[in-house]
Amino acid sequence: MRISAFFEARWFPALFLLFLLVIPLTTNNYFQFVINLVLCYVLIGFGQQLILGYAGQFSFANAAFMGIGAYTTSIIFTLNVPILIALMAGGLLAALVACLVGLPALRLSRVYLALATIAFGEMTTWILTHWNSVTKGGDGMYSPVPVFFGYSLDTDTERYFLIAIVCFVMVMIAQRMLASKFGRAFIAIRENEMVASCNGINIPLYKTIAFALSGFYAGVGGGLYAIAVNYIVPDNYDLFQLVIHFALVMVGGLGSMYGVIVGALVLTTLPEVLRDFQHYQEMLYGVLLIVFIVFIPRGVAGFLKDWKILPREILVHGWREEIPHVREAAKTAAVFNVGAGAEDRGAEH
Amino acid sequence: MEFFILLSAGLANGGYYALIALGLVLIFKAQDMVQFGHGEVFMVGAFTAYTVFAVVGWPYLVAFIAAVLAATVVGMIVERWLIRPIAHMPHMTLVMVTVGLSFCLKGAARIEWGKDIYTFPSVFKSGPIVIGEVVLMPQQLVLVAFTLSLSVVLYLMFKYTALGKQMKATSQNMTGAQLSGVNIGRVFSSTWAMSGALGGAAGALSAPVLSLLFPDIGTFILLKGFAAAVLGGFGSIVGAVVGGFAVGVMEKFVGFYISTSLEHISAFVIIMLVLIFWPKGLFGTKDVTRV
Amino acid sequence: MGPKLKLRVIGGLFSVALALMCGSASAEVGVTDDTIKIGMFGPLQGKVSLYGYPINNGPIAIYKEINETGGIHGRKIEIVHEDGDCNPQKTAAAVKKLIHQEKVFMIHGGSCSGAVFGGIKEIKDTGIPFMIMAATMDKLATPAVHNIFRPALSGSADGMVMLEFLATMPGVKRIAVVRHSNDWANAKSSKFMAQIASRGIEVVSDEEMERKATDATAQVLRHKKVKPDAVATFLYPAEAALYTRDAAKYGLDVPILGTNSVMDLMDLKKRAGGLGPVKNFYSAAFVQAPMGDFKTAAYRALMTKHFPDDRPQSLNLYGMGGAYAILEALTRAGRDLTREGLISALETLDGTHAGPMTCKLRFTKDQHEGCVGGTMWTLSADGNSIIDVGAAYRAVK
Repeated sequence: MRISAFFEARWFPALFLLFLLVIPLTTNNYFQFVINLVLCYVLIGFGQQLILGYAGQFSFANAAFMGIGAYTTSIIFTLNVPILIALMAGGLLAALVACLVGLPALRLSRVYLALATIAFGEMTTWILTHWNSVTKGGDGMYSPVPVFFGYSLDTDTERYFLIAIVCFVMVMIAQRMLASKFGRAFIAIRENEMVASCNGINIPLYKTIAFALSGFYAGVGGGLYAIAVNYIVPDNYDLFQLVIHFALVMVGGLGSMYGVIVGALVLTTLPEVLRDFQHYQEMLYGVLLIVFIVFIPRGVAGFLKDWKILPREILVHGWREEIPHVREAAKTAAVFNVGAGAEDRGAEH
Repeated sequence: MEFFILLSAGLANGGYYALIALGLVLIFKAQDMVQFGHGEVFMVGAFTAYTVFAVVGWPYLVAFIAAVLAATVVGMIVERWLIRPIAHMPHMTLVMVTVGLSFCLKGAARIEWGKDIYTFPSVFKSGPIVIGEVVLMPQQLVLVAFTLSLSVVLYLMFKYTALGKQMKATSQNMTGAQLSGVNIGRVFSSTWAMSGALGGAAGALSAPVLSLLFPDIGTFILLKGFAAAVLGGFGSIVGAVVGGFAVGVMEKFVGFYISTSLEHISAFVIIMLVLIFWPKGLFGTKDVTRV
Repeated sequence: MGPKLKLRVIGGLFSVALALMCGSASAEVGVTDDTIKIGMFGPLQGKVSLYGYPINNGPIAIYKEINETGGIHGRKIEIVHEDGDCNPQKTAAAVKKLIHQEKVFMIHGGSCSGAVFGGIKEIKDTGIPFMIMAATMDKLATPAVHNIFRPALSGSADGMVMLEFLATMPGVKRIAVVRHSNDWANAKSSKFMAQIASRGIEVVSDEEMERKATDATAQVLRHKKVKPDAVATFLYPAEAALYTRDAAKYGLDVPILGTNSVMDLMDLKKRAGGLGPVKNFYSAAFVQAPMGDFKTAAYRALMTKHFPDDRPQSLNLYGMGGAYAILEALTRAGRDLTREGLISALETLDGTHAGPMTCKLRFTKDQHEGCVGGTMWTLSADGNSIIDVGAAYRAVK
């Protein structure tokens, strides 16, 4: 039996859930904390994956959505609202903001969208720092200890169950959604907007939906992150945070749900494992980003799929697989391989 | 009168915003991509100048030339070994590679320079120049003069030299240019070299004005360069220069007349507003929006 | 062997095992016969690592020195150093790793207030003794938490030193303020701002300066316009240098006060480009002298001995007080070391010598802020030495 069949089996989600529930038996608080972070980053990373890997929009706003989710959840929860509702509220506000951010994306081409979203991210950090009466400004604020039906989730292990269950449900939903017409529409937009539009896909609508969903996942992930870490500060949601999200998606594999899980696992545990090399952490992220984009564009998940360890995902064959005839043309191009790129790039304008 | 003081201080800052924006615009014109590592090219220039001038103790002119050379070499290496092998990939890939590059260079710089904030000693022994209430440092005047003359040179180059015309042709239609016998490899190489030189010059010239150097300085200034380039209409030489000075002056005006807490963020508000309401910017010609 | 005997043997073995387990349990976590494990964390990577290593290296040099002289009660100090970045997530991970993975006896660390809060819950829950390194936010140690101690001047106390000084300056009725918008500046300025009116001083301008700003033209001009009698700055050293440089450039000629983070006035003079801009600058301080002065020569020697590659700087001095407090308490707690024993020993400290600090450390059950007062410094007229003005203003030049 191929290993991938194991992942495709009907009973796999149930088994996986069981696995998630058994984890805490084997951990101390430190491991548990890191595992909690991994799960948060699965959702946050999925926010980035959806917009970049699936819908192909070059957005730099994911860290800001995460921050909005973290702050909204914490603030609303302080008002004695049940934790699940607070999480939803965080996700929804992030989704709403994401819709607004997505509006210029409907007409801006890629590089400009990147710049607009960078500006948006800086403005979000600025607001979180200056809206003292609500966000407590630069001091940062406690994210209250979640209370679940009267039971206070005090330790990392107790919080884990909340985080794991929310994460599991959201991943299941994501998988269903990607397999539906939404997922196909996103990928169609990514591959070629013109063709997508000719096939009756309402591009503005689906792009807005992609932004909203991306914001929602990053927002809920951010809310869980606030719960996991217990204290949030505004300058945590800056460009560096964003580079972690980029690296997560790239290392895992662009346009792959499994990729997000692999990426979150690698990008969260690697800095912990390599604690003795703190000096090189920034360089590590940079190098990972470059190496994976250039040499392994399909990420770790791509490998695993090639080796038939992970199953193929619907309609997904990596973000930037080269088209064979372009590659051949590139090799034989008279000057050097730049010439071939023109066709490829021309398609985007 | 505060107005003129703010104007002069803003123009002085605008000088290096403009130089950064020029470096970004050059690459954008040739290769249709944004160089996120450009801030680090600036940093390389600034730290090279610091090393030669403050540590080794050679004259400032030597330091300036060394900084420009170092940054040029960095630009060329990046182009030849990092960008050219993947130049056929879509620009999202290219841009993401430069993001990675930016973090690599910053992390590398931190190993050597991360332990302190370095103070660039003053270059001119003469004191500030006072005209009425306006106070200017000689270094600021040099920076502004350099920026202005350089932009004139660049403008003329694009208009009249063969290389300039080739660059223009390449950016408009790469395949077409190639078919007409343009060596686009050489075009890209010279573009990156020029962009690197501009970044290095910006670093070396502004280091004495900024006076405080640290590895993150590039990121900080790159974002201002983006604002300048966007305001000028990404892709225009004149726009980058005017945009740079405009952003510099606007920051100071916002800081003084509205609120100092808005000073830093005003550049980003400019990016947002321009892109939403006026995507072509001041001098933009390229299509910013989708077909 | 009859069944009864068998039972007895098993019972005997069981009780021996139990005794052995109890025996090993009585030794405190992180303490062996010849070592005491002390955990340390701080920003060791990223943009704030600039402050991380110099601050933490100060205490490390002291611990290394004590190890060379034989340790404490025959035990050497073993440092476990973790990166907490200036970020709650990383700090939480670092603290949890130190407590649960490295199983340290106590923790001495934390230089970014906001970040320390990420780990504070774990510290409170486990009751591990925690000596704050240089984080200044009040609510970390006030009101007193059983196992958390702060040897350095708290943020609000730093601000109050500046306030008392301003209140004694002749003719100062209207002041201007410039500050960052982060946790650090808030910690130092919030009590200052709340109490200044009660001392009959009016704040006529309150400006913000971005961290890593490149000039202070707008701030200085706004201040100049309202003609203040003095300026209080809550800025990091580099930004304080920019502000004083531009104040001199645009002719804002009033006394400028800075927090104890700017106490290295020689450094400030160099950064601001000469004596001119800083000749009227006063900074709060809680150590005897900055690095480079003859009063701190011993500590400078210590730093060059244990960290020969690094430039000795005033930041090295910030955490040294805590290290001396820990060493003194470890000595008092005796050979039978427990966490509770150390906490009790720390609470007996009263007027303890705290290395380069001017304060004599004092902790009680309800008071875990070891140092509550400071002094003000200024540069001498020739700019070559630092004058300790004292807590109240007096003309010194």
